[in-house]
Amino acid sequence: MRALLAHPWTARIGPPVLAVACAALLGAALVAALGQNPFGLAGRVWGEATRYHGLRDDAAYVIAYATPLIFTGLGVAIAFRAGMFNIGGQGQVMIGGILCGFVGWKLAAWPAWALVPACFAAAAAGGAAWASIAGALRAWRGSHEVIVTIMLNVLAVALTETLAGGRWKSGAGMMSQLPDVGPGARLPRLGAWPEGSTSVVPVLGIPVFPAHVPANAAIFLALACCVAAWAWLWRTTRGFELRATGLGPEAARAAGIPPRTTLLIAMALSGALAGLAATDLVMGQKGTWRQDDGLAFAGQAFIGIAVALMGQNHPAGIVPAALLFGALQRLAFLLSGVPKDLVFILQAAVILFVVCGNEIFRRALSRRRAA
Amino acid sequence: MTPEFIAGILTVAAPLLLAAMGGVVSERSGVVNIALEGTMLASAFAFTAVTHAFEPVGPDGRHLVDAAGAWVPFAGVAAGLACGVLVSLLHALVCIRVGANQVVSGIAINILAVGATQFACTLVFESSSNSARVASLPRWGLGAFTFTPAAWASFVAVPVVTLLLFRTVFGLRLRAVGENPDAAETLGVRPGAIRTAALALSGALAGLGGVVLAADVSQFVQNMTAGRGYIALAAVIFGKWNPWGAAAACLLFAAAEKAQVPLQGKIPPQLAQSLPYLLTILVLAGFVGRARAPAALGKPHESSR
Amino acid sequence: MAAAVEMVGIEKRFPRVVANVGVNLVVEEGEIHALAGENGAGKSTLMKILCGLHAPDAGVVRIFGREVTDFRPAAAIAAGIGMVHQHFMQVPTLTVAENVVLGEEPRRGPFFDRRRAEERVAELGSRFGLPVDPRARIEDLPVGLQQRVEILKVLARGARVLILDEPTAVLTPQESESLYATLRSLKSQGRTVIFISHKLREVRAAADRLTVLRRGRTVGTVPIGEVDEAKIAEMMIGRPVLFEIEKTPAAPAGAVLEVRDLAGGRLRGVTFDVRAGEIVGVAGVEGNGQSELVEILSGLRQAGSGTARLRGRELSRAGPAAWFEAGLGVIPEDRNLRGLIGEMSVADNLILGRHRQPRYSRAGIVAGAARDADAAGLVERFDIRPADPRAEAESLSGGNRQKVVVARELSRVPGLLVAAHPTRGVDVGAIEFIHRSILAERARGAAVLLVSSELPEILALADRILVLCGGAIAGEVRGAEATERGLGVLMTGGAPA
Repeated sequence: MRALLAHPWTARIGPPVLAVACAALLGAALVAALGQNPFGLAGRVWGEATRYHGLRDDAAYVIAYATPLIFTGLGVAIAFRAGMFNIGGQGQVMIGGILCGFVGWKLAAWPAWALVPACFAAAAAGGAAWASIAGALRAWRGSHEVIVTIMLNVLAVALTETLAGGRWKSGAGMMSQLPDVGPGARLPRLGAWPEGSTSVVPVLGIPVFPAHVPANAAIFLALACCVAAWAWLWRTTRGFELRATGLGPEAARAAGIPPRTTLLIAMALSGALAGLAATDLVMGQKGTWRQDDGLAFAGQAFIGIAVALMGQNHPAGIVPAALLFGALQRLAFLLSGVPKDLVFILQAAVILFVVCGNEIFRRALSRRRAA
Repeated sequence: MTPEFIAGILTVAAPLLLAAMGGVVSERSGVVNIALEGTMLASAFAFTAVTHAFEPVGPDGRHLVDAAGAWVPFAGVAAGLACGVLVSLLHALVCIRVGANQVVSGIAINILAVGATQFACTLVFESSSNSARVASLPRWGLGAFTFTPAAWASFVAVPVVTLLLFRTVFGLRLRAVGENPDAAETLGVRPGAIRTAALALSGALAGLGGVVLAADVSQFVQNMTAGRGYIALAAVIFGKWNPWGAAAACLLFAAAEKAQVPLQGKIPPQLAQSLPYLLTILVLAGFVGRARAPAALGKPHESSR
Repeated sequence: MAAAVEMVGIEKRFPRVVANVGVNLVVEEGEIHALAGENGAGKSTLMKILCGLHAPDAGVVRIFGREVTDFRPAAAIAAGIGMVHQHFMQVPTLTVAENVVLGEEPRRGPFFDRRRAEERVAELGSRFGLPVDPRARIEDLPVGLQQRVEILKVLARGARVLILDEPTAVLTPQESESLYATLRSLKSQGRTVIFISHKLREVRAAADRLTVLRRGRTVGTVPIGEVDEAKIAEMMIGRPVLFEIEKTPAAPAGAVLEVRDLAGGRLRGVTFDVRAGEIVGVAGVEGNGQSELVEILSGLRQAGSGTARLRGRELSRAGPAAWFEAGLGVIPEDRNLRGLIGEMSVADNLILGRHRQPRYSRAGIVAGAARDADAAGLVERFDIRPADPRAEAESLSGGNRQKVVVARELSRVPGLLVAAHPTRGVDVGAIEFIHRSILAERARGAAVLLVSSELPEILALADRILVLCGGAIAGEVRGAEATERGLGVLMTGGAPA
């Protein structure tokens, strides 16, 4: 038992697992407080979940909801590894999204093999540029990135609204939205083709998933980003410098690692990942940038912070964490008899439990070392 | 500049002022309070729900909103204050007692507040998006300048918080703890206790800000704070952690919001709206007057014992 | 009449360190008592016990004749003990009066009675001859006045015994003079003063009696009139108990490091060379510019003026990367802050700073195989324990952490090795190992600059010794001719013997 507690993995996996367990207990207690039997509710949820296609629909929805969370969670994690807090995912998603939509529209005639990478690049560049403002201000002016990114969130909303409702606006209608992206920019759904799609990557049609679920090929980009982020952080020299700067800023500086450049790179990468989340919305779901969809979608970026925390800022932890939060969102649709906002409460509870758990584990560990 | 326009600015500014005063109090004690947003939202709901609960119910089960006694909405105000304190104490538990990251705790509380208010709204009002109309607070004042008592309280809050911070023993200790908790501790001042008290007060102020929002429209609307907590936090920084400075920033932000209407067509409305945020970034970057945060802001204090 | 402070047979052990062994200290009421000793001699521990921050493992403490049973700061304050910390415990944005009364503020209802606070501070100031404007903000005051506020703070709490920890370390000579006058005035008011110092001149200038500690033990207590500076130096330093290290005569070649009029921070213009194949020691009481010298010579601080050339390259304002490229290896003063990253593995720490060399970075990819192979080799060669390159640096003992730093820096094959306090907080076995490693560097032909406040270490290793005092070189002595007494006198600002 002692050996188990002292094992380094215990401190990594322990808090998230305990947090989920505590949140589940809290949820059950809330349900019971409403005068319902939590087990009865669980049974109803299960029945609802398996009603039409077994768990197929649910799995597809969970993947759909998890896709943007993987991106934003990774983004938060990379900044965190460098010792910074990027809570500007919302703004970075919006800037990335509108640029993605813009490139997809302006270069609509391009074939998919060129247009898809161009749109990816635009989304990443938009997010990176937006986050770099906060990164540069932190590195060169010492401004606190938390407040700056919150301000940049609001500015991003105003900027995208100005563009989507003005210069880049799609001709008719009251809606602030860009003209549609070219067909080559559409990412196929996991289940089948979106109507009218002429995508050249048919390999991705997975017949087991129903076509009406918005899960799309962006999930593969997300998973690729996880692998890339892991490889970059732990296998490249720059990644080593970033982690060193986060873990020991003074020692890193003394070792000749440029502190400012490293912070800027970390923030730019963090923003690029957040920006890429918008590919799911623009290329995978809507085929255009529409302001109100974008706002709702980007609002989920805050959950990315929770995903990063749950995943202990490690790509391998972020995927399951994103799936967990995706599952919670799916749960919201399956709940009956209790308000679906129970799910929000559980999300917040998980964050609070995991952040407290990490701190308690950390202190226990350092006490053990001091003794 | 008609009186109506000025009164309009004050109406917009009132909830911001209260939240910003809450922000000043907590940040001066060394605790980042991003949870202002969630605190306001939770208190807005608490006000609505408790006011609703005390309204007389007719024989058909409908609430007789207009027949409610004058004290009824004030019970709601009390509930809003209490709720603000409770939410802040949760923040204190996580980031002072446990010592977890203050920003993370604040964000989690904000998410919690969105979920919990909608959850409770569904239970009480059978809709997650908005509540029923509830009994209104009276409006006091002259001509265009008639406000709810809660809004009037916001104007009083600025001098009161100034007095508290700079003239009372508690304020002196609070500022000392925000700058150098170790020094304060060697003199027998307990940083944890002072910070917890500061957060409780911060919660009461932000909570009252939420009450102002809900009382203005006599109902609760889903996510009705819409980022005002963050704006208040920006005002705190813009105002260099000084109550009067923060109040001026709130008025500026409110003016920018109201000015969109007369400026329509002259400059893009988003530009006018964005100005305060741009200014805040410039202040943070040190291009417009260098702001200095309390030295111990955001750092959990580990007692030597 | 009972003594103001009586500490008998005090013993205090920490994990891995014994700080006090049978220490005795008697301070009479109304005297100025100096407490002297080298770093790590146990002075701070002893004073922390007296002011209730630590409880002793054995021994008796009596304050004004009453035995202390409750070792807490509040109890010590109540007994009349007041501590003026070396790092001032102040709130810089508050005023003098606010800082002094914090925690026991005069009130009018809930309100802070500012006027009464200011009056009280002004009154205290004039009573003890410590005038300071009660309305001034601490951050606007010079250091000397800030210290005066610290003294007022403990006086305001009724302290009858004042402990001052290295009070002159941060003061200019003029401010020091004024501090001595203050201490004498406190004495004339019947207060007792204990002050920790290792500057012999000021001990002689201010104290009535002196107690010297060495390696956790009391060497003795003497009236100041009965000893000269040389005698005090000998008491402080004692006989070297270092291992005999066989040392071949130096055969220095051309200059590797050329420093000219280098200044910055407390460093006020130093000029010296370090040649290939020699060890130049820098001795001195801490805080006399050593830290600044090491920081400039490792690129962490830009020099205010002057030049520093490493193998002919002027680098006095360059960053760490340029220094390393020119051939620097550095053992930093604070290994936990600057030498290591605790949460990274030993293997990662062993390439930190060298991680961009082609051997460890191929096309931007970390060469894991080379890193692990070299780490395994270094762990074995430097006898780092546990012999596991994947262990987190944090989990190692102080000595083994330092071996990681030494291993990394020596594997750079540096032209210049700057070693700052290389054996501080390191166990005896590791000390010997590190000393042999430094000598091996000299034999290989490296230039070595050894900064240390441990005289025996400098005497055992250095071929030439520079003594820093007040940010300038107070003297240069050839290693073979140096004696502890002679160096001690130079270090503490005395005339060369």
